[in-house]
Amino acid sequence: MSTVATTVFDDGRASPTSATAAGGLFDRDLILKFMAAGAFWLVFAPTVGAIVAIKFNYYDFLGHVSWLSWGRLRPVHVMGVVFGGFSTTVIGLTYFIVPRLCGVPMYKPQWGYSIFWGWNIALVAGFVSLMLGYNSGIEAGEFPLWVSIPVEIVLCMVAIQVLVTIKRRTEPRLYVSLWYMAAAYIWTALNYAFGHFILPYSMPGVNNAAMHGLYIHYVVGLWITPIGLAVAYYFLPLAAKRPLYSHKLSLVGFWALAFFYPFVGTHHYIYSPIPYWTQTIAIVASMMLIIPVWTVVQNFYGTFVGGWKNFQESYAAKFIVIGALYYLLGCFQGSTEALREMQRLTHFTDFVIGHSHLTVFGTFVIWATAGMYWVTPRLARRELYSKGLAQWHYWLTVAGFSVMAGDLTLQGMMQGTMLQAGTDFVESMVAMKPYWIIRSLAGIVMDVGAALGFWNLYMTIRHGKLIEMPAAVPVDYLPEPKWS
Amino acid sequence: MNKLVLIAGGSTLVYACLAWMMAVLPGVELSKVPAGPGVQPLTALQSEGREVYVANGCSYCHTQQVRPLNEDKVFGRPSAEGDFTYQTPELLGSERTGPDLTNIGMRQPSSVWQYIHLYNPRAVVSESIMPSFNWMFDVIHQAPAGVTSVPLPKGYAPAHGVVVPSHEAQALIAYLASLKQPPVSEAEAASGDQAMADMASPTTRTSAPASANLAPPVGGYDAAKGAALFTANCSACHQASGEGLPGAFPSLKGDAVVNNDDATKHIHVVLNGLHDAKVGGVVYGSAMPPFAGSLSDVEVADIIDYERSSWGNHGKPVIAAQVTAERGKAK
Repeated sequence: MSTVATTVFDDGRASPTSATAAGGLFDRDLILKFMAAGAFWLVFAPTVGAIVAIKFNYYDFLGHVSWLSWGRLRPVHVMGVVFGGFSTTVIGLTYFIVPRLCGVPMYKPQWGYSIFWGWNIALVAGFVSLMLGYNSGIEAGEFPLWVSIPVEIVLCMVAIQVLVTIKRRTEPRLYVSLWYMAAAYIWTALNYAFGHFILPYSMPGVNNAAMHGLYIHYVVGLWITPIGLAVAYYFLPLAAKRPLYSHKLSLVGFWALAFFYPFVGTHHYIYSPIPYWTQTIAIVASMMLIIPVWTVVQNFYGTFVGGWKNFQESYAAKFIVIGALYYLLGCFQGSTEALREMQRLTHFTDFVIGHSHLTVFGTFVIWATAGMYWVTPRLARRELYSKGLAQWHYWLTVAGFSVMAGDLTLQGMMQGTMLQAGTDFVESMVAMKPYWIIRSLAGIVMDVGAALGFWNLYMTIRHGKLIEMPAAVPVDYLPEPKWS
Repeated sequence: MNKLVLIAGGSTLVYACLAWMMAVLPGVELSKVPAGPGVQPLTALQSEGREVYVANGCSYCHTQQVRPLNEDKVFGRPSAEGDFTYQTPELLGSERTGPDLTNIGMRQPSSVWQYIHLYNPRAVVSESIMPSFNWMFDVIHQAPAGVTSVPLPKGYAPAHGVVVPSHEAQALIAYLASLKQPPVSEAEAASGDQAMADMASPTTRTSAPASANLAPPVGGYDAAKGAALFTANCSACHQASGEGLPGAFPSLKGDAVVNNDDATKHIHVVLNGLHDAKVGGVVYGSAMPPFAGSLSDVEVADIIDYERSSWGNHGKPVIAAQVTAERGKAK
């Protein structure tokens, strides 16, 4: 059995012994602020999602007002989950993970607060702009210029902080999370600029579509996946209280991701006028993505096997495990979806929406949530406010989300089959109506779960039972709260 | 393997090289493609309409790409590279919660229909799930000179006043009207069909023989097929009840042309469309599109027979040969 020496400073060592920074390695207050903001966006954006879902069946629900219309709210939902809920949380976790793995405080720690406010104000401005109809027209890159510029500046600032901190580290070895983080910030600073400053304004025609395919998949492959994996790889051994199953495997996963992801974007445009050979390469690469996915799943479950007791006692562990399961399902779904015959069946249907939820929410938002559960009570130095609320959060998320993902997947295949059989388009839409009701209900269940969970974390910060601290508390001391 | 430079620099380099390969090589190939014949840049008003289309998220539900697949045939011919020459950002779309709009200017040329549909889609398509865009319209006491109010059916019109489209709505409808697939030359059409056959799956090929190859049914028409074709092509305006919309689209129920035993005019209208029709003393400003290009003779005959035998109509049925003859006259 492979148990390569652990370099994540868990059992025994909270951080490299060389850490001597007077002010501590990380800024508890700043990270908690990020967690609270992330929690807010993670309730806000899915709620917008529930509203747009309800509009499929009740066309006049919040209708008749331009800024609450379906087409204006839809990008608020997508950008809200990707850049609001998920990104705010993982940027906050970056300020925890990077110094702890490097053994030195973050480079230019005072930037943290400007970044926090700049980022969140930009998000608010972005959502208001989209609701007012300022949309750049690039799906998943809809923010107009006055929002994209501050967002890009923030991404570059964090990228500089992360890279310089890694450069100045005292811990000689680089844990895999740092690999993913360094790459995610560099890649995304480039990709975000590409999608927001170049695509909406230049490159006409099918070229624009080919590039858009790359951009939209790079948001997933260059940002959500690597930064999400960085978070999950960091909190997995901590939550499981076991060393990582295999470091080699995690590095195979990293390089496989870097080699195969650049090709896959064009699979959004199978059967389009984009050159046939490009589509074929995209399909092959999509299948190859099973390799990095498999390494992650093997590594995660390998770490947990034999240590399920800790799994029962930690909500961080529970969310990581369920996220890994959805990752396996979602990525197999995504790979097979790229095949021409599957694409013909499912493209343009809600199957695609099911896939994006399974990966973005089911995997990465859930992993970010796991990080939140681990970090929040420890930094607040309080016990989790309520175990019951955490339990509800977990099970409502699992129940609601499983129903939603299954429902969307099935209805997409059903609609595809109907259209292939020659059913009139409108008729195929009418047949989807009951499934949309199920989707809305499942989404509302998830939202309620999220609201309870994040309320729980907020109350933990404010009113959780204070944990007794040792007499002389070291700056970076992390207590061991129950259930987190 | 612990060097920052290797990880950050190496992975970025790998990524950049591969991404360039996937972006630049097809880009070079695509940039050599000239604008397709008949593909025009948009006018000022149409571009404004395109911006309205983007701002309101139309492209999240409506694609603008027709795939070379059987199930996409209803939306037009397969899209070609040259069709997209003047489009930035592209609006090919990723989901169809509504129909494809690549050729909507041809498939539904009536701006009256588009205005009614935009104001409340259910006024013309009762099962539609599209949101109402009534905030793009003004309800005023009386339409000013030169402005035509939207002839909304009863039950959808506001209790008082008339509905006129705002500038935003006018631009949007002008843009939709501009979405027409220019016909491709015969040679290109043939090569397109070949490409389609190449890309299509075996199932497509076996199901390919269309109804056009079948002999007309003896002793009556295919009623189910006629009804389905009517739903797909005609009911948006003439409605499932055949009664049309008063003031906007003429009724087929009890109509003189439909009930005339000499079907020549009926066939002619379906094949070639109609402008400024005067029916029952009312002049209808909205044009009917021609169907000669999209429907086979058998299909036209099925629709006509369905119209002639439904809603209490009793016109003499036609056969495909009559349609073929009428089509020949037009040439």
